[in-house]
Amino acid sequence: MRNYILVFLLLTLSLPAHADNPRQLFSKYADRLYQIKVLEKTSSRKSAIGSGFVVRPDGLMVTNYHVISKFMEEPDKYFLEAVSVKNKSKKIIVQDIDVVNDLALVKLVGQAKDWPYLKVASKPMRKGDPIYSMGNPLDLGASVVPGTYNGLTDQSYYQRIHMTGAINSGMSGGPVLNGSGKVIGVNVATAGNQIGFLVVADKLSKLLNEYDRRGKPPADFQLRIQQQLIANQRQMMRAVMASNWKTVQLGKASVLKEIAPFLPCWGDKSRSRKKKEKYSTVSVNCVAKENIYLNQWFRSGMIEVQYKWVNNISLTPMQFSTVMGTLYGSARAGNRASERDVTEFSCHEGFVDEPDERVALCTRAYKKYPDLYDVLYIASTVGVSDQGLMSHFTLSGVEKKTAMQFIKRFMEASQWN
Amino acid sequence: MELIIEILGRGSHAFDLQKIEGDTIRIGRAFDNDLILSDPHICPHHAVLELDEQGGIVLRDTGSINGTFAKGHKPIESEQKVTSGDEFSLGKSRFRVYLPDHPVADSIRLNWVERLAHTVNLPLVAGGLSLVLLVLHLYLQYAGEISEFYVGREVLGAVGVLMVISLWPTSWTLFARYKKHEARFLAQLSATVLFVIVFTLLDKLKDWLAFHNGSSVLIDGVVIVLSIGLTLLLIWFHFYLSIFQASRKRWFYAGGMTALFVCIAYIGSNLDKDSFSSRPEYVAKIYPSSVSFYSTQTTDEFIKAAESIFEDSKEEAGHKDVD
Repeated sequence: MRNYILVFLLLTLSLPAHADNPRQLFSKYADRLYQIKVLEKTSSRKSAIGSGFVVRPDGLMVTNYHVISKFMEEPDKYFLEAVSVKNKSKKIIVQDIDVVNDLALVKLVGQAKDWPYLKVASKPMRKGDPIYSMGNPLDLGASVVPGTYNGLTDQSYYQRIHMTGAINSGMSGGPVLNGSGKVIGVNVATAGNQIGFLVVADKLSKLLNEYDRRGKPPADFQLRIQQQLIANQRQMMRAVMASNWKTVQLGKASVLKEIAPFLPCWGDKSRSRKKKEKYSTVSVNCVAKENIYLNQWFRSGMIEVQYKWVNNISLTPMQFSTVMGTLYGSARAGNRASERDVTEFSCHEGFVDEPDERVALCTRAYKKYPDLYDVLYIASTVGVSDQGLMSHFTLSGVEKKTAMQFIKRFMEASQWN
Repeated sequence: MELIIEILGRGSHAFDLQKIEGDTIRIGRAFDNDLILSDPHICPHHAVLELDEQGGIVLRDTGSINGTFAKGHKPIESEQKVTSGDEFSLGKSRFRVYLPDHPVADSIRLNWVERLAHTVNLPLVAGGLSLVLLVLHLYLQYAGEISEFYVGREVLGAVGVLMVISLWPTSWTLFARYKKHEARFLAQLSATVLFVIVFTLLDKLKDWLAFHNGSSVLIDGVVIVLSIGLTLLLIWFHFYLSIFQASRKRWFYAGGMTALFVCIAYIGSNLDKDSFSSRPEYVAKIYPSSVSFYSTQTTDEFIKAAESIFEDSKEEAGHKDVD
């Protein structure tokens, strides 16, 4: 009996997939697809474009936060518009956002309660399932792109669906449908070469539920972003602090590697083009794959950890300290930020022991989101001339308390044998 | 009579001094004159200086084409009484007439500055200082070189640097020559080179101090004051070597020029001060153990001391502390 049901379920799942093809899907659902435009107020020119789709009969639509971020940053300068496949422009109003998962809910203006809409899928997908991405690539007009579901991204904190298929800019915010026309994800990014990333439908359902519970847009979007950032970094830092920090031998030092599953590390060794090299380096580089898009010039919510071991072959102590000084002086924040978003760095410098190191710790505060900081740490060993270690990390968008815990644990983690 | 005639160049500097004896002193371009002036605007027999009935000296124009003038470009009709120290012009030339008993200016005592100027003008001193600069430059290049150090190329580079630096004393020498003053190029060069050496060392010392104590306003302030002082001294010495000036005037000129340089340096360093930097600012230096003297803290001590940067950033962002 049980076997019978299973077969039946598979049949119902797989039959429509075979029955529907991209043409049928498109002709059936294109009226739920819109192009989202951010227009400049004075000239009415397009400043940013993306895609969106209706998910509720009252005209509630979904798009990416990064599509409308310009408008969110400067609502006085821009306005929003949704353009239907039949080229009709309609006004839209922002209802809610989720910066962490790059989602936004907007609503078509009007009293109508009978907008055709797409339903969010509730059944899980399997690797290899055909999926169909819709949107308006490069402003070329509404399109459908067939692709393959390839599971969730590995080693990432902000998990995305990995789709094999050509997603292009302009399709951001567009729906990705399964064979039966249900939304399984939202177009968000591409890595080129037919590798696309989608926001998982679960995150969309969660945002929709939250919106339903509140029943109205948040009073202060900036505060909403701040709360989301704080909640996200608390969760992320908790995961980092809870995990068992692995170490790896780098020269004579033992350093951290993969402090969390979502922080994959890469190793590298210097290779001199000359026959006689005067020093060599080995490095470990751990960087989170994704970050949070806040605006064109501002990313947050990422961690990076870097080490470089320098082995002196034939440099004089003075020359070797020049090498270490250059490495030590080259620290930059791992995330992009502009003057409107953050303060300049304030630093504290000093010498610590075991091993003897020169350390600079710097922070910059987020101007619009109080209590959030980017923290940058850089250290170089001092007092030894035959080998040296440079250590660095960036924590972006963290609270002071969690940052302090991380700094302490990081500093105590590296050992010199 | 016996007269001293001072021929003036442009800018009232003495060009030549001649002592001439005779009852009549003939002035002109012809070779039979007592004072020969080779100025094409002067007639072969232009004017004469002679005694009048009362025993006074008079200057008489002997019918020249372009005339003879007293100071202030007043033409001499036929003759003009001469008092010791009077200035006249004929053609485009000017001269002063003195009696032998005319008082001269007090002699200037050879002071320590003059002795210093003399010392640094010695080829050995100028050469030695230049060599020190070359070696210093080479050493700094060597210390900062982390791949291959090519001696030949670096020496050539250092000589190039020295040549560029020597443009500055060269301009002062030209200025001195223009002012009809002793050139003393080597002294000018020595002063400049010494200045560059001290300035370079001061800069390195500043970095070294900052490495040990962190960047501090006090060290930066002291270094700035010292730099300005050094610049003032250098320019003062250049003026001393290049022209005769009253002491107060020299300080005034040197001060003015230093102020100009300070302004330029200040504007230069503040041009991009307003622009936002996403780079953290800290002392980006590491020194080998032979020249570093530091005391370490424990991790906890460091973290405790560093904690305040969060408040600093917060304050800069304009956020008030809620707790």
